[in-house]
Amino acid sequence: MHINITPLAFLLYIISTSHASLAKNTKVTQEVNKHFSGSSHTNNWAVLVCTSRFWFNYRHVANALSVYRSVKRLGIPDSQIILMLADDMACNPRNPRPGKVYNNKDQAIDVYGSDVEVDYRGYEVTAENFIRVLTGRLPADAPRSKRLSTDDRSNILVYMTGHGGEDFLKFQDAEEISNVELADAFEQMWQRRRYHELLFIIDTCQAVSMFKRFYSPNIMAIASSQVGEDSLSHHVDPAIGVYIIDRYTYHLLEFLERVSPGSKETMEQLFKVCPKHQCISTPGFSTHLFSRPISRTLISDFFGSVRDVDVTDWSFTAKPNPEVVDTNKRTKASGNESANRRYSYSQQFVTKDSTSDRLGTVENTPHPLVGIASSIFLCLMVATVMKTLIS
Amino acid sequence: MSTSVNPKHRTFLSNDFNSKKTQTWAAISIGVVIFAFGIPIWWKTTEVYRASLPFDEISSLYEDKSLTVKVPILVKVPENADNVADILTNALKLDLNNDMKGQIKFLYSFDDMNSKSNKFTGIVIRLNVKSTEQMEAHVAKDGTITCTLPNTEKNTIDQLSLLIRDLIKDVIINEALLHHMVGNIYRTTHEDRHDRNLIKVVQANPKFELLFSLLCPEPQVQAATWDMEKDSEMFLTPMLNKLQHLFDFHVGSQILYYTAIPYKPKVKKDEQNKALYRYLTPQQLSLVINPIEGRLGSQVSSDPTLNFVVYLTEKKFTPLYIKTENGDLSKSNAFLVPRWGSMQFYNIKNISESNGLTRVDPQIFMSAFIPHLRILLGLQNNPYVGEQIIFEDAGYENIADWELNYLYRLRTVEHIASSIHTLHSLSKLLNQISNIVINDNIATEVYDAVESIIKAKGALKNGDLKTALKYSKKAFIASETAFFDPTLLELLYFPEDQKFAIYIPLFLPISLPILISLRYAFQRCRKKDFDEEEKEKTD
Repeated sequence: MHINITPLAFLLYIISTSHASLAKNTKVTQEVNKHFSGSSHTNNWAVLVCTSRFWFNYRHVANALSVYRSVKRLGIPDSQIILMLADDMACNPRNPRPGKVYNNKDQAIDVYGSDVEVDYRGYEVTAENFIRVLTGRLPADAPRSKRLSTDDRSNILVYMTGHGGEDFLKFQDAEEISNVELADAFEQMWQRRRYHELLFIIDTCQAVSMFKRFYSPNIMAIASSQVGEDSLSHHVDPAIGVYIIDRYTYHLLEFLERVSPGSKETMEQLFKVCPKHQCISTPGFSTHLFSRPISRTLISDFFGSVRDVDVTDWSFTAKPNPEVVDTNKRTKASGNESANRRYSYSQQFVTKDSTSDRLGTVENTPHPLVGIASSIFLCLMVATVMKTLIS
Repeated sequence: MSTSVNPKHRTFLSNDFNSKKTQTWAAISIGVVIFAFGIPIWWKTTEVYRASLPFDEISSLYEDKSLTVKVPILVKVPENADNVADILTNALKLDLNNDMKGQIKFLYSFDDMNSKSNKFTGIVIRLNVKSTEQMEAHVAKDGTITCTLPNTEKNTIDQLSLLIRDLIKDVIINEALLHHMVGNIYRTTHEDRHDRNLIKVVQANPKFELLFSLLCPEPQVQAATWDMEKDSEMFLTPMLNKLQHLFDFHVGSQILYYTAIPYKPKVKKDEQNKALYRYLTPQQLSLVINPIEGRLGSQVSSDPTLNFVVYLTEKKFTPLYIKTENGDLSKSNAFLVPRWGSMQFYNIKNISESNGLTRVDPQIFMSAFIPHLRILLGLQNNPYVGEQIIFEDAGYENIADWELNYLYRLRTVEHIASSIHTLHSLSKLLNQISNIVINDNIATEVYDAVESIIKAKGALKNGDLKTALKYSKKAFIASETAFFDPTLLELLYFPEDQKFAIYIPLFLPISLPILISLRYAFQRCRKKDFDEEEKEKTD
């Protein structure tokens, strides 16, 4: 025991000094980054979408929740995360571990956690709602928690997972979103200055096809597989009887778990996540629309929320309005003052009658079939008239 | 009931209905109906509805982005020194009207007719000649610059003119920030990383929620309360009233218990009185607000929220200070988070005396929050031009008249630029993306916006700030409504191959027989003509 102390102390000394110099270095690089390639965003947002339903798609829910867990742990507050989760696996009767969704069969990480705020659930997860969230075209009575209230200084992480094919991603087996639609939505966001920089990650089959039509600036994209490749799941959990998570997201989560809030890891390291021997599919990247070098783009620019605070201050003393009597003195004078105060609660629900502008209501545009049906009807009518005329 | 068919009728059927002539007529008439009515009706009903929009006006507004901001200046001199006024006016004309590159043209005019009316929103320069050692300028709350000169030599006046130029360009009008604001909207200036001021300024919105939160992490040890209704009336209302034409504010407050920040302050010993104190660095602060953000409930309001948080320091950390970038302790113990709000660490001085429930002193937190609110709205705190210039304190209203005029200018140019940009984006997107629906009410908004932009630009050119702001705000709201209207997204994108997949099963079974019978009909007609010709020839 006694012998060990000296080398240990020495070791500690080395560690502490190297740590100190490291700290100094990071401080310098931090300064440098601030001046040359630091992101000038003020807030971070995340839109996380799982487009699948049903028990056998357990893995997609686990995917979306893995990213949700990571961005939340790294600092994006729930009010700035739009989570679209079609199915609630944690409370599914088939879940042998109620209230929990794990990232692997050893139950290493409960990605459901204790505090999940799903903004769009069940049948609300539609391609239309997703596009509406991105473009901001929501009905007037949509609550703020369902809105992407971003501005020209917001960095947005968009993560999608589900079943996809070349150029599209399915939403709940009912509809799909095409890559053109997605690219147009991002363009509309850019035009309206709804983002500063955007990171798009998609874990699906033929995922690269989803971002190849993007044309708006400042978008970086990562996809789990190339065109022609399937994106594979990681492993089966015998307890739930289905695949538990997808390969790409499994390794992404593994990587993000090692990142701490405010750390200095860069996108370059994120791009190395899940090489072909781990993923079996080949992850694809797109940086040609992005203006900063990836080696200087921090992961926390998208996955965290490192605020740029300002502590400069002024010696300023607030001056009370001379027309208002000081409350302290007044309450001493008359104790009953508090009884007649006008308190009111802030309005939480807009009470206006909003049946007309609900989501998905189609007005003014007749169904295409109406045209066809009416033309057939007209034909029949005219044929009958002709027939009677001829007879 | 006869089952047998009338023999006459039967012949009619066999002879007439099956005759080639009838068949031809039937085929042609069906074809005519399909092509003359059916297809146009189908085309019309499946078309994406687009009300007509003033595309030409929008593009001409976008092409000519320049804005003219007129700033009337009035020079007042002592009665017997009219020539001094002329010299100063000429010097100022030269100094002020050298234009910066950018979309905004500042027109400093010295011969304004309205200068004596109440509407005057310009700058008054008053000259005093006194035996002082140095020239001085005093900026009053209402924007009057009172200059004291030692003498009236040309040299001195030229110096004064330069001083006033800096004062007007950098502070009273703040040309650079207005240029940045507009350039940033049009994305013509490259993102200026050095311009930290603009990042902090909130984007224009007609309404804001000011949410004051008092956080008591350990109410069992020390609890605090406030009387926010009275506090805000005392410190905030005069300021908010002054800003009423610009923004509509709603003030809310809440006290949250057991909402703690996970943080580890650093400990240091005070050099002077050897007492220990704890502090946080700016790097630590940049992560501090994330854990509490969700608890603040700022998303309850549907308007953008500015948060002002008073954090009651835990007993074990009291007193807690925060350090500025250069290592000094912050005087207000508060920090600003750009476009989010401000937070202050509140140290209770004497817990034993407070009997468990302390009333938070409004003067302490308001002294921190008011300067921060000013920055968020786009104002400068403690502007500095030179030693010689002294700004009058804005008093309990916290915003001087000249600052209000500056805010009017700033927000007007922002509104105008933003709505022009929005309308331009909309018209560009309509060309790019074919499935955007434009209903009539959207078209009305767009026409309104265009009209209001033109009016606002006119008013700005005349120096009428109030009218300019009114119309620019109207234009801003109208263009935002038009762009973000939910009906714009009625139809999702359908790729061409999907359209084929939908229409072919419907159209093919109908169109094939029609086309074939039409072909026969035409053939027959031609043959008939041919037969008749043959007949004529043989005759």
